[in-house]
Amino acid sequence: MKKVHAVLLFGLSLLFFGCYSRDDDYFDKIVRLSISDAVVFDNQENYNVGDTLIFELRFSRYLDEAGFSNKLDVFETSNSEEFGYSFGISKFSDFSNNFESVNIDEEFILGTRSANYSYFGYGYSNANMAALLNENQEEYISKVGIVLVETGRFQLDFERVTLSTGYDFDTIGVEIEHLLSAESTLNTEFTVNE
Amino acid sequence: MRKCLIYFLCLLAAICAASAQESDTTTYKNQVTTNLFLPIFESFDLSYERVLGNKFALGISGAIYGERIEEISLDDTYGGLELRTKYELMPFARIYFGGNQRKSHFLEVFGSISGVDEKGRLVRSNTDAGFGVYTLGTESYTRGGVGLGYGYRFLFLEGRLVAEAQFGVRTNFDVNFVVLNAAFVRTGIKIGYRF
Repeated sequence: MKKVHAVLLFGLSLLFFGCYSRDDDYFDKIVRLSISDAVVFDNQENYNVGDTLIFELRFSRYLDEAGFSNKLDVFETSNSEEFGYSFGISKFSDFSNNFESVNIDEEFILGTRSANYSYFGYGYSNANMAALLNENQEEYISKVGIVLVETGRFQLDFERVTLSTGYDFDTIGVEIEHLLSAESTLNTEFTVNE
Repeated sequence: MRKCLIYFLCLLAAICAASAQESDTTTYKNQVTTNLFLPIFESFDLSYERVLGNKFALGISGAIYGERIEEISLDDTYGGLELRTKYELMPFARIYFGGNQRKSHFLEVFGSISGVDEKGRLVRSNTDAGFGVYTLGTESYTRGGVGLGYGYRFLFLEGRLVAEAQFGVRTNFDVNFVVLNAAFVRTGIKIGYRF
């Protein structure tokens, strides 16, 4: 009977050995890529209340993918003419001696909104903007205006921007992490005066 | 269907008649069995077992699965992907206990190597323009697993014929949330021949 117990125990332990898993594959119909320095911002550095600040985010539909020699066609892959994303803005606080995140009311953000952006990761919570495929179908472009209604020192935040086509069980999604490279000269800090 | 039922009843009658005999069983070292349930699901298996010693046996089993096996499979989906096991090879070890020469319980540990088609996988190919593109396609691969089984065995016709009722569950090292991705393989009523 001892042998029976031994076989039973051995077998059960083998079954539970199956608890090591490929869970990372779950819902994995998403292609993940990254792009660098996709923001174009002609920073005037000094603005007045009532001015509109404008920045652009643009990237090619053909993107590098780690591990492959040829570029990936994200439009052909996702069949999506739109990537949704959100950006951040922060205001300098004398109390904390630091830039603190600020949420902008949607009425002060100009630009095309994304209807299907649903990124639940570590992102920003401002309005969901859309980067749309341009007419010659080569680039995704988002042009955003922010109406400045408050004085202070501000900075735009693009370090945690993730662009996404959205999630769907039956289609392939593309998720693009936007990075600021070490060579980036993007200056996002500006002051708004009376 | 009626014909199948008649055959099955005849088989049961033969088994009952044979089990009524109280003759001693000769020790045969080799055994070949097949699962009676699998053909209903367009599938087939064959097991070979070699007795080593009094209560211990080693064997190997092979199964080919048809599409209808999905009707009784628990692991036909995984993370939104559709899985279909096409074939499976299962080496096994058995220990018999709690019985006599003609009938006994057994426990079984088995390994599994199975061929799987996984639909809904991301497959990268190239466009006519030479750019990469992903589509949802089918990926075929081989995977391993382990399982545990329990059963009861009867020997008939002086040990020449064998009938087994067995329950076996196998995991393939995948987990759906916290639940083991298990499948009831080597489960059913088996009949076989000993030599």
